[in-house]
Amino acid sequence: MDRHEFLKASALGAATAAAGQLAEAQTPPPPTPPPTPAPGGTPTPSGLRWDKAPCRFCGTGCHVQVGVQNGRVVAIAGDQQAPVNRGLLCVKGYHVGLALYGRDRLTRPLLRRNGQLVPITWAEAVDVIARRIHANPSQFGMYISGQSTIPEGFAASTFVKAGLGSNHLDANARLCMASAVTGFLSTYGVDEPASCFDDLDHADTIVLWGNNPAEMHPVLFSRFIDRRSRGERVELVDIGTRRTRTTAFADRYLQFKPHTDLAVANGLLNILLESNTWDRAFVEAHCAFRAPSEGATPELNGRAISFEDFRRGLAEYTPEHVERLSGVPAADLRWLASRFSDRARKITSLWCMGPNQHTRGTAINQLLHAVHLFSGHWGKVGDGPQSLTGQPSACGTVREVGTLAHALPGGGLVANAEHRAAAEDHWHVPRGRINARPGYHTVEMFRRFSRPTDQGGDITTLWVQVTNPAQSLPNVDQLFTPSRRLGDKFLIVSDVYPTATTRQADLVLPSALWVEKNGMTGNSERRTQQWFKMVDPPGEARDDLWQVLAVARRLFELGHAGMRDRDGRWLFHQEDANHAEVPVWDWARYQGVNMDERLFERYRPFTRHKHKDLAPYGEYVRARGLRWPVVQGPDGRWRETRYRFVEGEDTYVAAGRGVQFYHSTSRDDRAQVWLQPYTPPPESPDAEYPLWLCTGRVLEHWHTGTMTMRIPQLRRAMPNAYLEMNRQDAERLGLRDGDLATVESRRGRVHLPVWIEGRAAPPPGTVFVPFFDERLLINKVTLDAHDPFSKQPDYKKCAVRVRRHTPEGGAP
Amino acid sequence: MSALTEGRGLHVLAACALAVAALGLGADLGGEPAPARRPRPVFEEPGQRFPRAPTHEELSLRRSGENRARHAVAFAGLQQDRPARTEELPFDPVQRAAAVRDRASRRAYDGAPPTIPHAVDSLSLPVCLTCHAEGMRLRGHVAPAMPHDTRASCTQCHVVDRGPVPGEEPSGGPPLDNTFAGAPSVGRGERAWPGAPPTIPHATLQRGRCESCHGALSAGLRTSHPWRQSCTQCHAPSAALDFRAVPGLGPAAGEAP
Repeated sequence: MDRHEFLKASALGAATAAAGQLAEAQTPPPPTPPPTPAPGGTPTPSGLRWDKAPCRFCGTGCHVQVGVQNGRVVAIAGDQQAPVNRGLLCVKGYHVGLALYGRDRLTRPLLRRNGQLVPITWAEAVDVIARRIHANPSQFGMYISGQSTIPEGFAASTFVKAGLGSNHLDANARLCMASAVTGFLSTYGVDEPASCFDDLDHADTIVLWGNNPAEMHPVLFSRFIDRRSRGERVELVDIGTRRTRTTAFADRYLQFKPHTDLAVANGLLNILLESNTWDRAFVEAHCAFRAPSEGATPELNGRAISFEDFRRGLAEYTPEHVERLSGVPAADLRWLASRFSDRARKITSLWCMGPNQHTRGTAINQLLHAVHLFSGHWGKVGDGPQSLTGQPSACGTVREVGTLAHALPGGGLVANAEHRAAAEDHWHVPRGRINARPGYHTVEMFRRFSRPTDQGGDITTLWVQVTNPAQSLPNVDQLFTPSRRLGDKFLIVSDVYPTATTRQADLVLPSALWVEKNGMTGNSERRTQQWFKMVDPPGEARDDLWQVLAVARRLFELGHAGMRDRDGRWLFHQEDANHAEVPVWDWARYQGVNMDERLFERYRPFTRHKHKDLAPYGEYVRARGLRWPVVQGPDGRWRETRYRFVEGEDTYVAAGRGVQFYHSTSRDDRAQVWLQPYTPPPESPDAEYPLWLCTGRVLEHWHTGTMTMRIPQLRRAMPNAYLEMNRQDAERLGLRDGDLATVESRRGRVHLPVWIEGRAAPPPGTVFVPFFDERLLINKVTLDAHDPFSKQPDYKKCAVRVRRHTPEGGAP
Repeated sequence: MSALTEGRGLHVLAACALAVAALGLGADLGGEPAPARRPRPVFEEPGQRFPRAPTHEELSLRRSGENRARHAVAFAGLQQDRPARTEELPFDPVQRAAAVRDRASRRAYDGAPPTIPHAVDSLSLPVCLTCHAEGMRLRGHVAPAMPHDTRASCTQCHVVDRGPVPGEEPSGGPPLDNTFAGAPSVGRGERAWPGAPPTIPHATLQRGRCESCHGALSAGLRTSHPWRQSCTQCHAPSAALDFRAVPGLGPAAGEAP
């Protein structure tokens, strides 16, 4: 179904207020019989049709306008009325249309035979997958993505959890924001930021924790930094481990030694407490204190402690002690604490991968919330903590649909019997279908896949969609590569281009990309977004969603009991208006049905569970995204929510409460202020490996570069990865710009050209390498140690040594 | 500090970097493609080290004293170097064709942000306004004035044309063979009758300052009548190019007030 058909259907459906508005705003409902629908958008005299879509890249969720002519995307514009970006995009967003048109798009299914990937038909490919799964459903794993759309994620969850009765479904967002999730859950009892991007328009002070938004969230960066151009005073505090483009704009730069951000946050809490400038009224009304549990197995929710326990626990973090641990001068720490002491000042904290990709990721996330809660800088416009995400639907799909090994759609847990029962009802599958045991998280899933089956490697078939683990997993030679030498391990990869992962796959499925299919995503501020298909995918490339449906249907035909619902019908059974079954497993018929809308409406009831209510699909067609909970008012209008837990903003807060944390883990409407002591990192530089390695992204490239490295403007601007070094270190090692150097850890090595203080400037003792370049795989070097709660690995810190590269590998 | 004076402050502060960079910039712009970036010289001989020459960034941090005043004067001189607004400018079809080609070569499609044809400093505050606030002529090349409101983070949208990463790009990797064919410029604006003022043949979002491309400094696309200041008095924006309607998508429909 495209936009015209959809509008017709919604106009005929019910004379709702919204539909009335729609007709008034733009197009009257087409007459009957309708004209042949156009592929979307309005034609202009120049022959271009424009339609809306969220950008394909990061978690900011800018709305772009897509110009289509003769079945191809030919232009992109920022949407001036989009609340997130207001007409502006970043260089990746302006060039997002080019991501579709690399000449080497995958266009046919490919099966490895005698070592070669050879073309096969879709029917064969679907059959191969279904038979692998049918033979051994419990050893099948699915690894999807924060780029999977909401309906794709819901289909995968339905297939694995409600169908196969397994929980071996995880997503690459495990590698980027799992610690943000555990931080929110253990602080507020429910995931995702309570505040929103409106804060950036109003904050007096923006505090960045290990964050470089000038490159990684450029539109959000401009949203606050451009306020200076308009004469506003915006104070920027950068707390980081290396000087970046963002630092150039900062009023203050507080440089800490890697991993000691915990000490810095504890230092702030200690100063607030000792100077008695914390917000006693807010804390007494709305907060409780919490510390890690003491048993052998750590519990995410820890144990309640008293205020006195909290005070005693913080006592050692005097400014001078924190300076010794972190290198942040005591005076700077006192200055920052004075900012948080100022109740009138509006302070927004932003963070992303720095605190998340951290072996104490949960703890530092908890502490960032604690700093805001304890100082009362919480729940007012411009005044609160905001965690950013890096993928377009890390929130919408992975966190909300819950495509994680322990989760159920809408925030439920597979380990919770009530949650399972409710989910089985929503899915209309028999009681007991959902497995109570959490599946394998990402790192564990790949460990099991890479281990011989008879030695506990009990994942034998793995289906990867919309992600590139052979490049993005840490310690990739241990986690990924060994499976490729084990004959009984079968790797299926759905993607749009040849990648480091598809090249090693046993079966490759060509996928549709972005506006080649319908989609819905959810950004970092709880904004759910929708778009329609605008152009056809190339060759035989097909939607990831269809691929899952087709395999589920083939399994049904093979007699897999799990592919039946309570009534014995196929799990994804679809009917037309006359109650005749629509065979959506047939690609030709699938294209005539808007499966996004149908699956989204199946998903919506789940979202009520944790008050993450979503509006009907049609509301998103008419909007540039809506922030949940979206609640229908007495006037019939669906209203979004800017600030959760705040009276007057969030309809679920009881009248007169002001602030109410209604999902509190202590069941008393209080948020938890955590005590989390600093502990040293698992690996630190030593005599043998004397340097810190940090990895990350750059402005021009998005993650593993499979799309952006094929866009000329971006590739030319940043053609390859590099080793960013401090000048002192380079001179000491006799390295100059452009020299080839070997970066080596206990796990692996890679040879990279040196760039002294290039895109950013690390301090002496630290080097940085971006991970976008598949030719220079820095993840052979990184550490797979992970946070105990979130299971998210730490890509930001490990110990390496650097030397001049000699071709023979000998000593220089 | 108002936006305007802040902008001016930046000009003066960055003048030093500009003066140092101007020669290299001029050389970079013309003729054969230069290598991505020449390695910084390090004078190193066995057993002996000479002091390292300061980098551009370091120089820009040392702007003070007499030099600062000199740079300000030199910079003001560059700013003055432009044709008078009273001069009638002849139309040159050859120059126009070259300007249109040049314009298209820096954009993926009509309306895309142009790439930057020279190196930029990654680490200090963008000094782009030094040249691009009012526009100026440098050794025969024109640095156009920004056509949009002052935005602070220029490199968000504009990236350099040739990467600054030193050393050779390794072979292999994703092929750089993209079949995207961007929407071209629609060409000249429409005229209601011969002699009528043409409409504006491009979207005006972020292109509100006509002088940027059509001013006296620019060859080829410049106006024949630079003394007129109110362009939209006679040249109407094109609704078709500016207003990209999406059916059913009202202004901020369904959102909180």
